[in-house]
Parts: sequence; structure tokens; C-alpha cells
Amino acid sequence: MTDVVPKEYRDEHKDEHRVEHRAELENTWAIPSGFIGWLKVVNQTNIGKRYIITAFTFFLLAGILGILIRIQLSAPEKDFLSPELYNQIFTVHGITMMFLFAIPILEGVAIYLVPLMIGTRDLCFPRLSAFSYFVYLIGGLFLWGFFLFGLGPDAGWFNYVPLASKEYSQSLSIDVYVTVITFIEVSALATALELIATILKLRTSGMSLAKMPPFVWSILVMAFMVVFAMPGVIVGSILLALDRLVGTTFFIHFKGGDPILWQHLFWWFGHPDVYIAFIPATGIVSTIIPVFCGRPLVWRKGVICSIVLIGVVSFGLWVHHMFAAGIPLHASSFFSTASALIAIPGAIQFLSWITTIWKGKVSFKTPMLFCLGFIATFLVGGITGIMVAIVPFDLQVHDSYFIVAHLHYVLIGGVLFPLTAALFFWFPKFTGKMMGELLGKISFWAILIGFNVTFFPMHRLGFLGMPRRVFTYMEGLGWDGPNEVATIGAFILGFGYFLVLVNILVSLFRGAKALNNPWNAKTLEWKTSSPPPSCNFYYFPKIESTEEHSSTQHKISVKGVRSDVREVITTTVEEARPHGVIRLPGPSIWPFFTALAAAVAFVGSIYSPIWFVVGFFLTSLCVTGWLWVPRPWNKGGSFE
Amino acid sequence: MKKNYTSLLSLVLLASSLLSCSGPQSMFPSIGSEGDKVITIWYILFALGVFVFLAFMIFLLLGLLKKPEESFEKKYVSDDKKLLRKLYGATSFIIVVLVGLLVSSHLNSPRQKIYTKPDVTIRITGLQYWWRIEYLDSKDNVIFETANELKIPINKKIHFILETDDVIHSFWVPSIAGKVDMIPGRKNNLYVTVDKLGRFRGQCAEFCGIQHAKMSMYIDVVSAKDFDNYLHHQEKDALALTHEINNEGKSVFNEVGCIKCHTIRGDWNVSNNKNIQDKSDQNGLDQIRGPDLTHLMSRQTLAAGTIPNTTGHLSGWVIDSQSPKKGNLMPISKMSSKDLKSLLMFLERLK
Repeated sequence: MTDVVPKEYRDEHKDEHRVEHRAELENTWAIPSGFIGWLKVVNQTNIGKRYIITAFTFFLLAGILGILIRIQLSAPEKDFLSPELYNQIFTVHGITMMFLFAIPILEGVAIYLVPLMIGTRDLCFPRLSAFSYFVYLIGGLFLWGFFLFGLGPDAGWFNYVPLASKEYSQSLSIDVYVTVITFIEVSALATALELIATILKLRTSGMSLAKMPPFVWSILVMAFMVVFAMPGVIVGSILLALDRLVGTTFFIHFKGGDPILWQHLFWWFGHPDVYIAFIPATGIVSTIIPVFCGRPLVWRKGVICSIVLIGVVSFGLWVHHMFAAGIPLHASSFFSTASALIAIPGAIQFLSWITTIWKGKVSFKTPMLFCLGFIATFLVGGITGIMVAIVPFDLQVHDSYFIVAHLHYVLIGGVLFPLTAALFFWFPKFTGKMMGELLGKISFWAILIGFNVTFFPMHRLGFLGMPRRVFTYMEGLGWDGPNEVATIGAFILGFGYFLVLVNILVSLFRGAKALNNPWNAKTLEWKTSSPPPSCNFYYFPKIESTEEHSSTQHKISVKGVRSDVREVITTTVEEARPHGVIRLPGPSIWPFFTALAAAVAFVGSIYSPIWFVVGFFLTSLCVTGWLWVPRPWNKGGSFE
Repeated sequence: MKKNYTSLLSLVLLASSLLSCSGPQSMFPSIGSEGDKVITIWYILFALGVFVFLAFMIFLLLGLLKKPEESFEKKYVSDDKKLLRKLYGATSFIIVVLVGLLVSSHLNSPRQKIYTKPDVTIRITGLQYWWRIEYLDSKDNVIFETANELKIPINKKIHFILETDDVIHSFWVPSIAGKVDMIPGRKNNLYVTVDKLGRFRGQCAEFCGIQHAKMSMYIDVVSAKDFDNYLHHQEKDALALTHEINNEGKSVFNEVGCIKCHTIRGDWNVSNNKNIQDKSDQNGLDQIRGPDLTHLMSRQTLAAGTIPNTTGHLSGWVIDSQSPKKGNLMPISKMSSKDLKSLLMFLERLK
């Protein structure tokens, strides 16, 4: 390690700088090898990478579905896809992008980066993160497996009843939706709890809440939002599963249920879900822009307050998805106002970023280009967002292609661009290799142009009356031209991401070696080597400045943390004063078995409710194995 | 050379189709009292949106293009107060504009006018994948029933009652008004007055199943006189309009099973209908109600605006309704070509 530590501290903390100490630490935190070892890994850097790779794979698959959709719609009355297949494809495209890509990849980035940014060695429940990854992987594989065998859900990602009730959808496809979605949400909830606990308790000494980087703030807010939002959809999908499997009548109107209840439960989750993806994305932008402007973020407090504000207000606007359903005027006024007011914290962040650019010296590297692309495209999405918050306007464009344009500007502009920036920015940290800069710039322009060519004409399609989710359309409605253009754009956009993929693969094998801190960034993850050692840090640094986490010489905050077992320090919630040491569990196969047992419960209940009972007992058994405390006289009482 | 010319022409056509802003299902130009409000709101929002976009983009571009300040790194250990004050100012400005926008939009609230005494009341029921249309009298009794195409009078108060018999649909004729969902167990209302003659297209706007894409409708806005004629015509039984009864076609209609779902008003089939009704009650089956065919030939399209109502398309639809609109509830009917011919002759009399 190349850390430079002042001599007086080095003398005082001799132990922490011994070579043997480092070797022992690396050994203690070592990642098991082999196939069985792969199933036992609990280290956060490894789990984070798995999340990112899996989610990126799902993204590419769902992107291909998007291109299929565009081919089908490129001309009127095309029969490239049958209506059944088209309906499955747009549904699986939506589900994959929202449930299997946007949320998991951001969680993956958070799992990887948060412990590094706050200067600790792992998340606080390492086995839970392994469990949540396996749950996510199994859920995703099941969904795509059913889809490839022709049983993909086909009632939209929003899955409105009664279309999704047993009466109108007899096949198993909707059962696949309700159970797999519930299952995957379990993983999101587990990760969220873990991130909250880690951020609040494991920050290294001196990193008070005020000194915490904006990215970590955004992850904290996101995690809290997940905890509040996900139960909505879990309750909804469990009630629907009961309706379908055992004949309850929660959503059946002529038996006393109400189909609108599903819409409330779904959008209670569904709208915050967009912000759950968007908030960490702004955190990424707030991290990257200052780095490439060579100065701290302007109005940091404003940015952090807006992150928190967005998190709160986003729970007050779910009904704007339902204005057409016949909502009373007062209710719609309230939700309309909330929807428009969210523009204020949004604008504060925009002001901060642009002012940072004004006050700094911009270097146009690929991550910065994607951030600039984000500012331009998300701005369009934000403006159309305020438009659709105005009720009478919304009643016209709701469920039309105007919304398709709006939501893609928000999600691609607002989430995918920052994520791509993050890929180029943190790739050196993840892999120790730099990504190709020229290819990166070419892919940026292809993506920016392709994206706008695809989605801008859709605003017009909305005005021309084209509804969403149609597998084809008639000639003579004036929709042919914009649709043709959109399809051309989709291919350019797809080509852009193909270049990104090529760039990743080439850089992995032939990329230039990355330094510890290639961008001269200030956050703590750049202090350790690229890629980080299995223990992340050899000592617990003491943070003194608000901005300069990586560039200053660190004092060591705590002495005597054991290196033969997995120990980390805990600190107080607000000031981050060290107040304890906890011992984290090591590698274990049980999280994998628990995930399998839970899969038996959820996926089995597609076929018969009995499997839920079986899975429940299997899960209890596996959890016992997971929590089994080995005899303390073996190996010094560690959990290994 | 010629190739170049055609490609140029197609390019020009493409460009013009991109810029022109109207179509049979377009929001522009609006002809209804509801749609008009939206147009005004749209102009305001559009102007405001363009302004905000340009303001931010110019601000950003200037920031990117200007020369970096010397020694900026030393200058900013913490944010300077002056800069922060400017940012507070900008934020307050944005808040004021936004709140202004919201307040004005609520004050000029687009509250729907409710017509307690409408001139025309029409109940539209969404079904997988067509629209049942019933004209009601002042006591909400059905005057007559038709499907997928309707006429409304110009400059009269019209009350649409919107319901569904199966899943959620959404009623959307963009030139007339914004969407109103049709929700099981609920009755939603739409009150409009329209001020332009013409034929306007609408389409289901809530995903409702496999043929959601082919669930459209046409509204003709006609003069008061034409509307009276229309009512008068549609009220009558089909056979009152035909002098000669095609017995062969009628019996094919009964035997093939068309009559199980489709009604043709008139004395002649009452008994048949009743038999079927009893049978289906015994089997515990819900009787499926297909579109009313009493005045089939007065409609210009078939299958909810999917195909034109010509002899060729009609016969194709009768024999094989699944290939133009896969997954709709009308079964494929097998019959000899002679039967088909007489059935078509019979159907074409339903003027």
C-alpha cells in the first residue's frame, strides 16, 4: 500500500502498518475460490460486482426486447410479432427494466461503493447481502425462463386487475408475475435494510452525517424509500396471488372487492420507484461533476436537502397515474400540486450542478459527457413531467405515446445516463483497468443521438392520438413517419450500447492499468488500491474534512481492531464517534440454501399453495443453519 | 436519377408528415368544450417549457464555454456567500413561477361542467374489444343499441355514461376530450359540447388484453336535423326497413349460431332468442352479448374500426374473424359457400 501516514502516527500505530498485519487481514477477509466457494462468498465488493453484472445482462436482454418492439411498430399493420408475443414482450421489457435492472444495479453500485466511501470493510450483514443477491438472481432467471417458454406475463408491468384476475387471465403467466415480483422485492427490502444499518452505524470515525458524500446520502434516502414503498407492491401482489390461487375477492368488484385498490397499492410503490432509481442517479452525478470540474460541489447542503425532500414528496404523488380513473377534484388537486412541487428540489440540484460547472474547469472525459447528456435530456423529461402534473393536460396525454416519451426521457436520461457515467467512472476501481476513452466518446454520441431520435418523435405521436401498449396501428392516422424515425433511432441507441459492451470487454483484457485515483477524485474509495483488497482498508481512517476524503493524509482512528477475525468498528449515528467493535460473519453456504428454499415457497406457489408451506419450513431450517454459532473453542470463537 | 428523385420525394413526405399536426385521432385541432381548455393549457406549458429548457441550456453552455477562473482551486474551500445568495434568489424565482402556475391552473380550474339536463345521453360500455353504445331517454331507458360508431349533434349538451362489462378500458376521442376510464362497478361521466362537424376517431387507452390495439370507434358530429334522422332510423326494427324477408339467410343466422350473441331487433326472432336464453340459463353460462346488428349496414367499419364494412370484408369476417383480429370473442364459423351467400344477402339488408 502506498498510503503516506505521518511519522508520529506511524509510530503510535506500528501494528497497523506491519506487512504481516496486512497479509493476515487479507487472509481473514479472503474470498473463497472454486464453485462451492462462489456460492459461499459474502464480501461486499464481490456481491456488488455480481449485482452489477447480472443487472447489466438483464438490461441488455430487455434492450433487445425494446428493439423488437420498435421493429414491430416501424410500419403500420406489421406482423413481425404476434399480438400475444408483443404483449408479453412489452410487459417483460417493463418488468425487467424496473425490477431487474434499474433498482438492482443501483443497489449493486451501492453495495460495492458505500462501504468503500464510508471507510469500512464490509456491509453490516454480509450473509444477508449474499442471500438477497441469490434471491434476485433466482427470481430473474425464473421470470425469463417462463418468458422463454412462452409464459411471460402479458398484462403490463402495472398488471391491472381485472385483466390480471383469474377470470380474464387463466394461464400461469400472471401467477409468474405476482410470485416472482414478490420474491424479487424481498431481495430489494433486505438490501435496503442492510444499507441503512451500514450507513448509519459503520461509518469510519469522523465521517459525521454532515461530512458524508452526497452519493451516500442518496443511497440512504433510496434505502428508506425502498423500505416504505416496496411493502405496497408486496401486499398488492400477495392479495392478487390469494385472489388467483385460493379464491379470495380483494379485487373482484361484484364480490365486494375493488380493482382500484390494486392501482393504489401498485402506484404507492410504482411512483416512488421511479425516484428510488432517480435519487441514486443524482447522487452519482453530484459525485462525478465536481471531480471533472476540479472543485467541490456548489451548494452541497442544498443538494442533500433536495435529495431528502424528493424522497419525502415522491410519496405524495402516486395518484397522478390515476387521474383518468375518476378521482375527486380535491384529491387530484393535491396530487397535481405535489407532482409539480417536486420540480423545486429538482431545480435546486440543477442549479448546483450547472454552477459547479461555471465555477470549475471542465475536463470533457466520458463520465462527464454522460453527466452533461443527463442534464440536457433529464431536463426535457422534467419539463414534460410538470406538464403531465396539470390534470386536464394529463387526461389527454395519459397512456399515450407522449407518456412513453416522457418516461424514457426520465428513466434513460435520468437514470441510465448517470449509470453509464458511473460505469466509466468507477470501472477503474472495480477492475483496475481504464476504459477506452475514444470508444467511450463515440458511444456517448451514438447513445445521445440515438436516444433523442428514438424518443423525441414520440411526443408528437402522443398528440396525434397514439395510445401506449398497442401491438400495431392502422394506416392513415399520421403515425407512420414518427414511428419509422423512432425505429431508426432505436438501432442507433442499441449500437451505442453495443459499443459500451465492446469497450467493457476490450478494457477488461487490454485496458491500461488504473492508478488508485486516476481521476483525482476526493471520495474515500479512491484512497485504497484499484481493485480494493479483500478487506477494503487496512486501517480505519479518520475523516476530518467535508470534501477531501481521499487526498489528505489520514490519521488512524482506532487502534487494536483484530486482524485474525472479521472485525469492524461501529460509530455513533450522527457524529460518527467510534463506540464499539462488531465481528462480522464469514463465508457460508447457508444464504444460498435459504434463497433456494424461499424460491421453493414462492415459485412453487405458482402451481400449488402447498409449496408455500413446504418452502416455509425449508427456509426455517436453512435460517437455523445460517445462524448456527460454532463452538467458541474452535478458531477463537469466530463465525467461520 | 429517377431513384434519387423518389427518395427525395419520400424524404420530403416524411418531413412533412413529421411537422403536420393533425390527423383523424389528433388532439389538434380540438372540437370539444373539454379539448379546447387543453389547447390553451398546452400553449402556456409549451412556452414555459421551452423557456425553462433554453434558460438552463444557455446557462450550461455559457458555463462550459467560458474561460476557467484562474486559481479557482484556492478560491473555493467553502461556498462563498455571494454565490449562495444568487442561488437562493434563483431558487425563490423558480418557486414563485411554479406556485404561480399551480395557483392559476387551479383558479381557472378545468372543472367539468355537469349538465343536469343534457340534450343527449349516451351510455358507452367498453368490452373486450369493442364498444357497446346505447342511446338513453330522459329516464335512462335504452332507446336503441348500436356498436362502435355513433353520431352526436353539434352544439348540444351531451352526457356520456362510461361503464365496462369486463376489464378496465378507457374512453378517448382526442379531438373531443381527454380520457375517462371505464372501471368495473363504477359509472364515470363525461359532459361535452362539440362545435365542429366531421368524423373523428377514438381508441381504447387502457391496456385491455390481446386486441387492445384494435379497439377503436368513430364519432360523427352531425347537424341537429341529421341527428334526428339518425335517431329515427336507428330506433326502428331492422325488418321494418326491408320489404322482403330473406328466409334462407335468416335460418343460417340462427343455425350457425350467430343469434347466440347478436341481436337483430324485430318480432321475428323473439322466440329464438328466448330459447337460447333459457338454455344458457340452464347451463349456468353467462350469455355473451355481441354487437347489435339491427342496422349493421349503417356502420362504415367492422370489428371496432378494424376493417371497412364491405361485402368482401364482411364475408371474410363472418367465416374467419380470427385472422384480422386474433383473440376476439367471435368464433370461426364453418358454413357452405351457399349458406354464406344467403347469410350475406340477409346481413346486407340490415340497413
